[in-house]
Amino acid sequence: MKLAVSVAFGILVVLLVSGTAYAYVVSAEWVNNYHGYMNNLTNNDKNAQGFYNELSSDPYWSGGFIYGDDLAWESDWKDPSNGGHDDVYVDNAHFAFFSGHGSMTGFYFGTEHDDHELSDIDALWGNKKMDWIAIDACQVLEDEWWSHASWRWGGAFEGLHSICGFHTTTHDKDDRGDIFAKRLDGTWAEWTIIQAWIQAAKDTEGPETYVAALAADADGNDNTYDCWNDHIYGHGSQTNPPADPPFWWYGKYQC
Amino acid sequence: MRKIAVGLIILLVIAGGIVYTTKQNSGIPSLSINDIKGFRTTSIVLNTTLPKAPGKLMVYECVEPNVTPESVSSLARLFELKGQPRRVYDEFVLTDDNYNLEVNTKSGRIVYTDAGRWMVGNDIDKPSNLPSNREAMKIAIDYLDRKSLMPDDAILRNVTHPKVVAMDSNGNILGVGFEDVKVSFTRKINGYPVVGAGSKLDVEIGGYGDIISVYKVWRDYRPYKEFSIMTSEQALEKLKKEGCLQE
Repeated sequence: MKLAVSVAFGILVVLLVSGTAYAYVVSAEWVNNYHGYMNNLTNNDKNAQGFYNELSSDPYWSGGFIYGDDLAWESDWKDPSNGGHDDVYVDNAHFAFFSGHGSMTGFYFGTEHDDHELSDIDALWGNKKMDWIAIDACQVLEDEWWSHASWRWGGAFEGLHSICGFHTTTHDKDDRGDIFAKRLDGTWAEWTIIQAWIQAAKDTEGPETYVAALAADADGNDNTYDCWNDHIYGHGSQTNPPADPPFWWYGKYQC
Repeated sequence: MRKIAVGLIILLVIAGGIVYTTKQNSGIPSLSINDIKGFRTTSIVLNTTLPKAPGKLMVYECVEPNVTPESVSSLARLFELKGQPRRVYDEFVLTDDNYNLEVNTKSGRIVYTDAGRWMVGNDIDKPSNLPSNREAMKIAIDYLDRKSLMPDDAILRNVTHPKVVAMDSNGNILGVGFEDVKVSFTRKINGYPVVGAGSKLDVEIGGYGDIISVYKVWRDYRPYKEFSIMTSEQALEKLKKEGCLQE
């Protein structure tokens, strides 16, 4: 135990000296109370807190903010060019997590700041800081021949590396965020972000659910896998994508 | 569309029956469709005959597994992994180079993963290197038998191909970054399929027939209590009268 504390302290000192301690920011929002706009949910607070608390406890990461219910606003996720303020909220964090309702076209808030739905046309992510986003909500990454995930969400990539989400509906689970983070930061493993997301979904959903992810390609070469294989900062490698990726990597997986 | 509607109504009728029983008998949690995190329709067209439901149904409860450091070490040896497992909360974890083994102490869930290959873009797990579905089934069954991981009551569910594709903004597929063959098994208890996250057995076979993931949660169970079940007709009437399930 003493050895573990000493090692942890030593790592922290090294990180502080190198300037990488707490250098990366995680933020999260969740909604349980939809005020009748959609049916209320129960576990999004615990789900988002689990992710936020686990990742922000990592020596490389720190917590930016976590807002829930009426304090979670759609404008926090919307680019200033579209009338939002994501430059001082989610796009001011490296990793953003949302837990609540969703659909093919976006995800939903209980209040109208500015409106209930953050839609694909509202989003321009990564033009400030955001690298990764996980949307724990139904169908945001549904891919159909008549509406491809890359067609809907490709325009949101402005430096963003990847989006984790679901192809199908999903369920109101309280521990998926925590499980996800534990396979990112070395508590259980140091997997790629998308591996950890898929496995967390598999741990918490039945086979009727399909989890999905969409990641930027960086170099236009389909023999390199770029942001699909990203790890979080401090726990492996990542690739910086251009503001307009040449194409995207997409995968869905039956849980 | 009609098949989906019929399926939905059957599901709701059965669920309604179960909810009815849970309100009559305490001890098992009630069901709700309110935990779906998206839009759902409550407008359903019924165009089928109603299924027969038994008068009574046995409910089973899970038996807590006995997961110990010794049992996890034995499992690691089975997977040919080196090192000692460490316990983190409810999980035993062992990492050996690219290979990970996790065993959950509450459910007994076993996850063995080649993290250098499973669901990551790589040059080995490509369509041209994969076995056929029939070969993959044989590989999976032989592997589970050899490792003593094949349950007696396993039933083949399906064979699928998880894949990662390069896609342009119009959805055109430009290439494949990863693909494997996933052989999945399910089980029935008392003739009824076990559904949800708590019962799975998947083996994923990558390029050249390599096993790159094994996921097994297959819980022991024992009879809990027999519950009365309403008829399908009664459940449908209740659905019409009270609407969709609410907690």
